[in-house]
Amino acid sequence: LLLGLSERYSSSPAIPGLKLWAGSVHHGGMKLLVIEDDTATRDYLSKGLREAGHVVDTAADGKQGLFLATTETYDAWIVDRMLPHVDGLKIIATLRATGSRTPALILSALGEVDDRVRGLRAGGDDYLVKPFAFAELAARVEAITRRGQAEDGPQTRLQVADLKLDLLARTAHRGEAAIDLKPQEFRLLEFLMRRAGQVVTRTMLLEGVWDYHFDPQTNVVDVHISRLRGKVDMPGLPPLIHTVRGAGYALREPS
Amino acid sequence: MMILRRNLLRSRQFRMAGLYAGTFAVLSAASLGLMFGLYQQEARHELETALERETESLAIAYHSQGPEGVRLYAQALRLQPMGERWSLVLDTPEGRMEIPEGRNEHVARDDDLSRAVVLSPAVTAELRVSQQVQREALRVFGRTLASGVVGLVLLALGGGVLLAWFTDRRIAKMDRALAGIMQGDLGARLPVRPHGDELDRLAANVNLALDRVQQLMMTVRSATDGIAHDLRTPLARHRARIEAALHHTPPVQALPQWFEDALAEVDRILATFRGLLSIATVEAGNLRAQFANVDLAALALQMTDLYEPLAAERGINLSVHGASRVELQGSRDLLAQTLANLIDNAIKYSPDGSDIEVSIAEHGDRVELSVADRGPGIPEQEREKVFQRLYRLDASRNTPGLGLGLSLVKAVAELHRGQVRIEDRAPGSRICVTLERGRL
Repeated sequence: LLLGLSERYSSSPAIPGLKLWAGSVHHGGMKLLVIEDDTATRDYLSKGLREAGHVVDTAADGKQGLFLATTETYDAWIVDRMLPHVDGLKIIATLRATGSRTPALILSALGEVDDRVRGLRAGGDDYLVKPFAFAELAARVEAITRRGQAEDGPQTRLQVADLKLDLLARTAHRGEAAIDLKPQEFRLLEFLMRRAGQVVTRTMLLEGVWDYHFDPQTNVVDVHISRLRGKVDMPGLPPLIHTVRGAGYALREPS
Repeated sequence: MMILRRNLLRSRQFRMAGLYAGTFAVLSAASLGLMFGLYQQEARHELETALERETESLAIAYHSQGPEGVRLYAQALRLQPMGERWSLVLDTPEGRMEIPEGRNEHVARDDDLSRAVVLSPAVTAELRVSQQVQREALRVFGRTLASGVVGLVLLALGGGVLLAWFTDRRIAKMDRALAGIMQGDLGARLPVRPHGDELDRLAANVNLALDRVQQLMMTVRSATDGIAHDLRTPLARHRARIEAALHHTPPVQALPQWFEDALAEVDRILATFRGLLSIATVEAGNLRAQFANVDLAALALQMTDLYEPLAAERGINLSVHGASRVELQGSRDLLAQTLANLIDNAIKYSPDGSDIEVSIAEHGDRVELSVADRGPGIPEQEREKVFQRLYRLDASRNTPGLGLGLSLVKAVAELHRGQVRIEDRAPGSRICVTLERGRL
């Protein structure tokens, strides 16, 4: 996965700040700012993100966080919602007001629907409720930093290896063979292809494909993926949909 | 917390009573004064008329009987009721005659009314009438009126103060009750009299609001107590597991599995915690503010689409019946979760290859959502208990689940002012959720 990431980033000058780091010191890593007042959580996050190859700066309160965010360039901010001095939502709102568009992931212990809405309205790009699995955080950080690229222009066709999706004609092909997809299978495949190379968690799929913000006891998503896999990864062809243990799924080109 | 000090003199009731008594005093004094003036005028006029009449009669008596006639007339006049107020001075060439004798002693008043007549060139008479009786009557009348005014004013003022004092005392009682409540005595209520006025109605409404607050507090308290209690068991299990590992350290090659199992256990505790928390949130009832129009039929289709592959894996046929569009006021997320819980349960307990029917029906202002399966069913005596948090049937202990699904369904139904009931299908059961449609 990390190799896949680095290939993508070294050939992507679209992200500011990456040019500096990509080829030189931290090959493929991103520069991230973690603003979190709880020491244990902050250490856990920075350790995990550094192990994943990123450069991580940390701030223990709102003032310090705001200072770092305005003086340094980051690929993403990870901001705790409840902070001493200046609270997380205010930091993001302040930075957005100065015109900064750096992607922001909000971490919060508040998980009600309107808490999430308020977080996104303040300028957050995604909202993650504590406690969370590290894989969930990593996948979401990856997703928000790539979102900017995907919105460059409206796409009508998506292609990963020999898998082609026509968004206007609503058709899918693997090589020359047509794939017959039900509407929700099409949406699922589109979601995965738009995030090709990234890890997508089950929660991200439930939120993004079905717009459900709760945690079903049974893993219904797995069954959908296995059915889609049966249609896309035909026998004899290199598989494109991969299971990422402990995290979720990723659709990527065969290496 | 600030409790304003009371001051009777500055109270609204007291100021109102004072203003009322003052206005009453001025108005009654003015009207009684006017009455007195009119009476005085009338009395003087009456006396003047009498003097005129008697003078004329006196002249007639002189012309018929001479001075002797005048004397006799005057004496007769004095014998009438209140006749002693009359007096006469007759001047003739023979000398002066006074009736009564020594009139000068008797008549000292300047305000006597008098009238002089020339009876003949040599004879003149002066008839006088004293106003003393009228004056006396007027004085008594005036005194009565004045004391009446004073009495009335005192009565009005006293009544007002008394009324103000009573009202103030009632408000003081309410103040004390409220102060007690603010200091934490949530069971205290404002005093309400049985056949109350508007103040009692207000107090009764405040009491109703306090009942609601207390009820919410109880709900929250019992929810927190419940969560604390419910999480103790899995945490104790987890602790025992860690303690055991400390005494008998697992072999190195088994460690990754051990950690994974421990993580799964913690995740399960967290899932239980989240589930309990969301049930508590739903039970608190304040989510109604976020209600929006939801098409329950469309939602049922989406949810069956989501669960269809899971059902298909076991050859279960999942179908939706009923109208294609059924709208109600509600929470989309919670209704989706309700459907998910019911369908998930049905799939879990259905035999392979059976049918699950999801139906949406409308009954006037109610909407009914039901999920029917051909599973083992729920025994009659267990049908109330399955809605309790973390309760699981003995038969289902080996099926994965937290025992929170139906509790949430019940809480969501009640949030939408509805109920849940379980019907027997033999074999299988049907869980019916009735919801109030609300104002669309």
